[in-house]
Amino acid sequence: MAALLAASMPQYAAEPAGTFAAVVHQSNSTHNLRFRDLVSLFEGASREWPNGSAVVLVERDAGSTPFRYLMLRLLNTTPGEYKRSLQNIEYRGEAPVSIKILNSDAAACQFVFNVPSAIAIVETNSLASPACSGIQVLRIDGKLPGEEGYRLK
Amino acid sequence: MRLGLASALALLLVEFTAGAGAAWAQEPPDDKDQVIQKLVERVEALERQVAALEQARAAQPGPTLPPEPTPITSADAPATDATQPDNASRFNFHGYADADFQRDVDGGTKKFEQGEIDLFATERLSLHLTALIELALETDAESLADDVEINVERMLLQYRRNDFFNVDIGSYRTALGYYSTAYLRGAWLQTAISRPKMFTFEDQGGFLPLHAVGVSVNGRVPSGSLNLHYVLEAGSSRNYGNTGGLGPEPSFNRATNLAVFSQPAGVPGLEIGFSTYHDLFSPEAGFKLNRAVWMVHFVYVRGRVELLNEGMRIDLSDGSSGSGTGLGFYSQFAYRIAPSWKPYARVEYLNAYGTGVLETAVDRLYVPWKTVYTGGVRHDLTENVALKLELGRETDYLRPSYITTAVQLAFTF
Repeated sequence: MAALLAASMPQYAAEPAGTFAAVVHQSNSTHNLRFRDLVSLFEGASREWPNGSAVVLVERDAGSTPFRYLMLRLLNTTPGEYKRSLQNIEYRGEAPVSIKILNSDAAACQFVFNVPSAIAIVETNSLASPACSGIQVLRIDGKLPGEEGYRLK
Repeated sequence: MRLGLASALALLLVEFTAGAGAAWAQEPPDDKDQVIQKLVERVEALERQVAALEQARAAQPGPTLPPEPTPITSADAPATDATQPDNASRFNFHGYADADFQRDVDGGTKKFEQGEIDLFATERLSLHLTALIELALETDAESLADDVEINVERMLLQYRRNDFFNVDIGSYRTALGYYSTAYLRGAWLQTAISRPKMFTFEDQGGFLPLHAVGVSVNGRVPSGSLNLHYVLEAGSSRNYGNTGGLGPEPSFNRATNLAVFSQPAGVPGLEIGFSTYHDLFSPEAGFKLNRAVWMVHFVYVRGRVELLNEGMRIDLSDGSSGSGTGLGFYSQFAYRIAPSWKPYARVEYLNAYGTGVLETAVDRLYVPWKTVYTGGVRHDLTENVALKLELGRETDYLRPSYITTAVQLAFTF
């Protein structure tokens, strides 16, 4: 018990800095997402694209800046509560949320390049890398990264 | 690499035939369907990739194609298939367990207690079929090694056609209100230690029919931003009465339930719904009661906030010889104040009354509690382990009010 009490959850107090982009496969017919729909996708509340294909969420490793952004800003949750919420979906008998965890933005972009139904959140700085050049950056509420009023930051 | 459609299809064909030959050579005949399914999925993935490449080439003014996807390096990728989700396995398993210390939870004891062990597994049998099984090992009454009860909590064959039409056949949890299906077993999943009293399990004195065996049809209703869902259930409820005929005869207690709820697109996290349930119920030999349960719920779970509200009315009638009614509600509020701390509070109320053979005194013999106030805090020690502390005060019709305390260590594995 003492060991458990001494153990601490990873702290995500530091606000993630920078701007982020939601990226999908080139063939994805969705080019614009409302901010709340993006949140729904990563919460697991929506699990299908409009064409009926199952969404695969690509997330970065715990502690990375995109992951902290996902937890602190996009979902306003903690890794523990997020896990509980995703397990609860499965436990209710619904289709489980498909998640791929990768440890770099380049790997996330490559995964999205290879999997038509995947979506990832990466830092906009990474979009210039060759690995991210063959994928589609989504508009969020009609705006691309860098435009006035863009919300993923 | 430039990939024309013809060469891509040729590559596809080679991969299909080679893959099929190799797979069938390795798989026993019984697994042919699975092999075919895998190949179909693979072919579909390759077709999508070819279409994407063709689309990209058509969109380019020059001959330049999108850059070839470089293989994920070993430093970046885990050892699993780099194009599959981490939880893409056909078999998923989760376990939940808890250990508790309770003082006066039943009004007069103080003890350490091993909680229940909940084993949950699903196996995707094909594109549309999934098997689900949940076993609860109830250790709370264990005094000898072989005293542990094993409950088949759920055993379902699920047919998932699409968002709008799904069928579950087998032993299911009735869609009565919200809590019954949102937090089934598994102490780690729920914020508080105790469940709302109205959702006490049948074999622990609960009066709501939380389990049934039969068919459940469920899905979404095309309803725009209202985002309506429906659940239609028909089956046989569990019957704990010593009935001398009614209990073992499932055709007697024909349980039906209709639940409709909305998860409005404009307010993510909000769910509003109702359910209406009807069956025959026998609390004791000689009683064949018509039971009807109506429930409404208003729930908001999002971010730091967890707000659960449910109201209930249960009617029991025995023809002209009497009827009983229960009216109750609970409200629970929890708010995460720090990354791993979540205090909560809950208030519950129930009033039971009746006439004839189901007069008020008889009703209150079965459902004696009146109000329950509960407060506590959940502290997530790790992503898989939670420590909870809880205080409660209960009043009922048969004895003086009493204070309860409980500590729980709940975890998932």
